Amino acid sequence: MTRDFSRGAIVLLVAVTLTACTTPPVWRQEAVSEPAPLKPTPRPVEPPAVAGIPALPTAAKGLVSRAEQASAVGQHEEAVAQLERALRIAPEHPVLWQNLAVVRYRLGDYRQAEALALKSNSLANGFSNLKRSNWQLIAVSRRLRGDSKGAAAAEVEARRLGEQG
Amino acid sequence: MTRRSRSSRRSRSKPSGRWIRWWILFALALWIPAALLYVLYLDWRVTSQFEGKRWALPARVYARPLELYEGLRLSPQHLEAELRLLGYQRHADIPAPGSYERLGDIFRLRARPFVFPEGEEPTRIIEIRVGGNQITRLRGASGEPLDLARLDPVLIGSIYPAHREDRVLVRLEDVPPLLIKALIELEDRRFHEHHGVSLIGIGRALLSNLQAGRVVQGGSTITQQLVKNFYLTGDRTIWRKANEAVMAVLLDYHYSKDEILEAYLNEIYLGQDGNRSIHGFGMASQFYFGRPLQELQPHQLALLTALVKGASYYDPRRHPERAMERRNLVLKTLGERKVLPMDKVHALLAQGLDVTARGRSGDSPYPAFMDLVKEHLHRDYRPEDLSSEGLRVFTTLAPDVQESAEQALVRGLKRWSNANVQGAAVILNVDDASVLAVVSGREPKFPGFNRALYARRPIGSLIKPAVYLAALEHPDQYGLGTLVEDEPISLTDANGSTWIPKNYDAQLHGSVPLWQALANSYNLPTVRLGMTVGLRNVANVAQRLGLQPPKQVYPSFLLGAVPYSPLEVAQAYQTLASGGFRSPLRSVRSVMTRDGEVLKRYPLMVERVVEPGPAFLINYGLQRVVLEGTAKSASSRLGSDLGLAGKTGTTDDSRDSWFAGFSGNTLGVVWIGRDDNGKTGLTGATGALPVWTDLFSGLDLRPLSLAPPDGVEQLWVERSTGLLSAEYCSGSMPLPYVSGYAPEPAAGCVDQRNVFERASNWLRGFMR
Repeated sequence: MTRDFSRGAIVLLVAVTLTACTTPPVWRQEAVSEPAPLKPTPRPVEPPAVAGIPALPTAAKGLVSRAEQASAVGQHEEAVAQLERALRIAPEHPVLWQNLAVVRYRLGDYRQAEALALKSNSLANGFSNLKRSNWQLIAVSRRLRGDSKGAAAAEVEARRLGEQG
Repeated sequence: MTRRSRSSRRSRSKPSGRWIRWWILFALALWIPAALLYVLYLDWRVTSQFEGKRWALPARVYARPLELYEGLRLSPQHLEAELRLLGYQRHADIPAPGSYERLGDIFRLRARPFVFPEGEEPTRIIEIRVGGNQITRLRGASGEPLDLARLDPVLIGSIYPAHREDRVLVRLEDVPPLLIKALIELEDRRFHEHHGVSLIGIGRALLSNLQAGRVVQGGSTITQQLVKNFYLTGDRTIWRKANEAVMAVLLDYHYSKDEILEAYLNEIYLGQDGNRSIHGFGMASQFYFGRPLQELQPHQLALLTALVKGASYYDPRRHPERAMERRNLVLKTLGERKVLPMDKVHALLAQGLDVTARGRSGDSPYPAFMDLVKEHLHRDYRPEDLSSEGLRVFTTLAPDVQESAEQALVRGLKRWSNANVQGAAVILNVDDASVLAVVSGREPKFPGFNRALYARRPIGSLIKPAVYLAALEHPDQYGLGTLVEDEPISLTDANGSTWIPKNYDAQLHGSVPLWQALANSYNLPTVRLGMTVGLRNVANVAQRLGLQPPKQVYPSFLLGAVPYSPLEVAQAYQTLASGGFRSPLRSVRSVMTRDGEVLKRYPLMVERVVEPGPAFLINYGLQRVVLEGTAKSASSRLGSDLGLAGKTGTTDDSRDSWFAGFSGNTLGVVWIGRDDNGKTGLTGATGALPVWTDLFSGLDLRPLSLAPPDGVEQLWVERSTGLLSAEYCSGSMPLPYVSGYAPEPAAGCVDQRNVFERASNWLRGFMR
């Protein structure tokens, strides 16, 4: 389930990076009303980002899938609440922090999306795919907040990790 | 009025039969409409108040619910303590929600249903096996594995309006049928037949009162009793009795028997707890038995029925014999009237009263934490909403941690004979910045001055991590191995006054590596370091961590001559413990209406305020404090594999004693001192630290295993010089450094090192 959600997040992020740069406000509206714009993926589906990351405890998995369902129908705050419950079970799991960042992103809270993605990265040592997707999320969030210099720096990080991976 | 006064004047001046007749007619003409008007007024009162009646329901404040899952760190004692707090009854058959059974390390329980902001938790059977202080197996009713379950949360307090009426609303369909039958049998047998008042009832009461020569029985119907409780004051006058009867008839005319009964069940007065009055059977059940009405046994329901007659006269705690007598009368009556079979009645008569020792007090058992919750809620809610809307407040309090903290502080304070020595403690969950426990003094169960929140005292050496972090944020200039001078220093300010700081042990230690100066809490190197890095930088770091610096920062800031509360200190150390991510502390997770609608959530907010590299280095330093520095007694008692990190703090002349420290999941700040700021003779290491250690020994801790972030590497450094060395060089030790900022190589060992490295490179090439 985690894998799926995380992969979903990655695919979403890819879509985000590609569409957001051109027309960010439109995507944002779409994300709120129709939060799974996964189909028009111009790139082949990414490999799972969580290779090597320890599995989530089953208790947390259930909560993550509940969060996923809530977020899919636009109940992002409910999703946050479920993810926080999951975090209390597996607080050091970087994917949970990334999921939280993605939901905050969907809520339009780009500052928190960035901070939570950074937090995910601080726990993601050795998982360069996960880190890369976090940097992508950071880059988009920064751009949407008008921090183009910061966004460029984040993109450099993402690219660097892409080359490594 | 003028006409009336004129006519009366005339009648006085000229008395005659004709005028008297006129007068009577006139009075009747005036009074009949007046009486009608009065009845209409009563009717308006009855209907408008009954329909508009919204009982002022205090906000209910809950602890965090205990989430159960395999792998949860939880000792069997903590689990059982939680069940006791929740009022679960131990019973081998676990017959009803709210009961449990324990066989060694296996618990079976029937959980209560509960509506949480994140969804409903059904009632169900849960089997929990605890081993090695964690849940090793979680199963459902028929042995199927359960991923996750949570218990209902402990009610930790209520927020009352001024007059403190307390009630838990019940719906008629949720009330045990036996209670309703008992009430009707005992209080108003003809409830379903009469029209609000019962002439037969009044006649019967009159008769027995005449026989006894005093009032022994009231002829009040349930409807009249409701009217009395609802609309009228308690005085026993004919006028009030008449009003009551009229209003009862009106009430019966307008509303169904069920509506009247439900209102009665929620309104009737059933007890007193100080200045808090207990209204309705929902609250009474909690007050006398510590559990919901639905879970009560027949003999307990009979006792509640008995209390209707006179809650203080039959108070089961103050007058158990009277209460027992009356309860048994209720049970026998139910037997005689075939509501209960006689053999069952006999069994029930043998039961004790079963009331809890003390009423679940309206005052919170955790007043210090409640202060924090109220402070939070008053930012977003009006006081009248909090005390009347029946809001449900879900907090972060962990009762097991709170109890451990209270006991540890009280135990600790007892060790010092001086009764003036006070203390406070704040415990946090590191992962989500939630406050688990607050202890505000040596009498934690009583409300009073909240030292944890409001006692701002100089924090002494607790400030030092900010100084060292400010240095470590410049890896080009400082590493953990960098030597700092432990030599006298004197500083003169603009006014010409001189400040000469001293080490606590009044010794000088020469040149010491930075980590060691922190671990041993040397003052002189700290002041030198802080002055070189710059006061402005140090203040900036303190602010980022969450400590508001004073408007004017003096060099004494470097040694913590600034006052902060334990809670503020906890905020700053939380930032350190979570690796440089600051999160505003939370005591409330969410607020729900009484209908289960989520009003507001308070999510975790995160901000990165320290880069990962320096954050790692300072935490490494704080681990050395506990491993071998001023707080090493903690690691020798709790074990070094927990990787605990922290800092001691002592202020001038041993007035305030502080310790702030954390494991992987839990952070605690303890302050010991005196309200009058007198000397305690305690240092951080002799006062607060033992309390902290005692406290943490009772918690379910996760080790703090710091993983070096990207861009941090381990180097071997010569201890005496702080220069780059190698593992095989004598006097060298491993220390983490920000990559690219290794210190200069040490002279002696470097050549050797090159030789070795060349050799190993050659070897590597050879192997390839």
